[in-house]
Amino acid sequence: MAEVKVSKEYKTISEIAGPLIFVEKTEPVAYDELVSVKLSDGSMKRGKVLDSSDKVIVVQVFEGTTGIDRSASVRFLGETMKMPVSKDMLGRILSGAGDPIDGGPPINPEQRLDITGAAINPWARDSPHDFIQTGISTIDGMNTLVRGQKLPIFSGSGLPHNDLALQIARQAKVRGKEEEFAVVFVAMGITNEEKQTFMKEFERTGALKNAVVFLNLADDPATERIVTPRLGLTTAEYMASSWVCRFSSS
Amino acid sequence: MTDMTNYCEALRQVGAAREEVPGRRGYPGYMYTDLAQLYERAGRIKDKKGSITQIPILSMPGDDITHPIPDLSGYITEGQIVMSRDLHRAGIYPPVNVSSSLSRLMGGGTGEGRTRADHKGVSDQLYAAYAEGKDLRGLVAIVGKESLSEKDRKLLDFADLFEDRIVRQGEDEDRSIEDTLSIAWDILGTLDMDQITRIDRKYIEQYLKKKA
Repeated sequence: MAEVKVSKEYKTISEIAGPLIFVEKTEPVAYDELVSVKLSDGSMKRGKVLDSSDKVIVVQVFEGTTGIDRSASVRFLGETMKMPVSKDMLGRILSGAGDPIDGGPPINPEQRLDITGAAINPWARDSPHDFIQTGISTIDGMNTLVRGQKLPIFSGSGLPHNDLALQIARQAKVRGKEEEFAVVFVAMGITNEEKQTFMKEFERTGALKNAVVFLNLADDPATERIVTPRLGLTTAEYMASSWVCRFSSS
Repeated sequence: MTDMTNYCEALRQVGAAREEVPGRRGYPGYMYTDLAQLYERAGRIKDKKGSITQIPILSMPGDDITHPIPDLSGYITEGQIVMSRDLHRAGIYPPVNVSSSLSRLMGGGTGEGRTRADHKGVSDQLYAAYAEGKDLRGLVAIVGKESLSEKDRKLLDFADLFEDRIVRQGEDEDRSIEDTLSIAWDILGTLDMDQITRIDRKYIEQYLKKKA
């Protein structure tokens, strides 16, 4: 990291629109830079810079802009959003913002990784060919999934896609090789009822011990929903690179 | 990741708040880029053991596969598993619509040493016979089952068998690939020999005889 930037507090919010605040620019800030907003009642909110090209900086506030007024102050933190990751994350259930919601202790980070991830060098990509057995005939037999593939499920509302996802998360394995397999399950915009089902199912079936679960609820702010899959993928990348051999995000 | 549709709605919401020029159906024009930034994080890297496999789930608004979300996703991902409302209504779980599903990387992951040597042929044969059987359903609705030839009637029954035995399975049923293939040989056994055209002779002798 470069030298620590002594950040100034700006009280130059000029406009608030939905999840965004507009801050009049005073000195250069970077795209994607983290922002903390101090409200007039002393509480804090976090956000990130969406646009810094103009005179006015657009900041996306993760927790929603309720309560923010012109007297709120904005501080630019000089780094992009990082995700604390650790091997101890297996078996944990986290919120869409990455905080534990299973009543367990906070995650003790081994590393803090950038949530946008590093692009894979196209030349270094290897073609996927290891069979993953999901235990579902229509997938294994007719539309085989391989390690490293991205295979979406196109569903419709009311169809049991979440049951299928849970079943795949539970059953998926690579045969013949003693490789570790971890599942990162990312749910976005789910109802409270679905959240209860997911938590119960993961615990009931024992699938939770090899899984990290992120649950972003329908009443969580939209801006958090944009971050949630990136947190999940960052966790997966950490696991794939450090010791567990793969992950399947359902 | 479930549900990508909710994710895209969030993108649209933020885009609208920024007063961006909207794209198709109000989704931001950069949604393709944004989705690719997520999906392309899957993959294998040479000389590294770990890999990332992604199964993003999205619900198609109005079951419309041309909607921007499934449309753009389909360009990036390597195939898709499509769920069918008709099968769901018929009480079949998991309601996977095999005819419109596709895994683009299937070829590299199947066959000898990966699954089983007969896998490719068997799955081609199942596809073909199921498709013919499904076509005949339309015909039967008009002319009735009686006017079908013996062979066509077998294909018609095969489509029902396929949905009942291959597609349908329990929520806690974990089938190995051998289980799947042996069910497949079982139902292929109901067809005439000259209707099985896509499987190598030697596999037919090896596997079909046992069932007969």
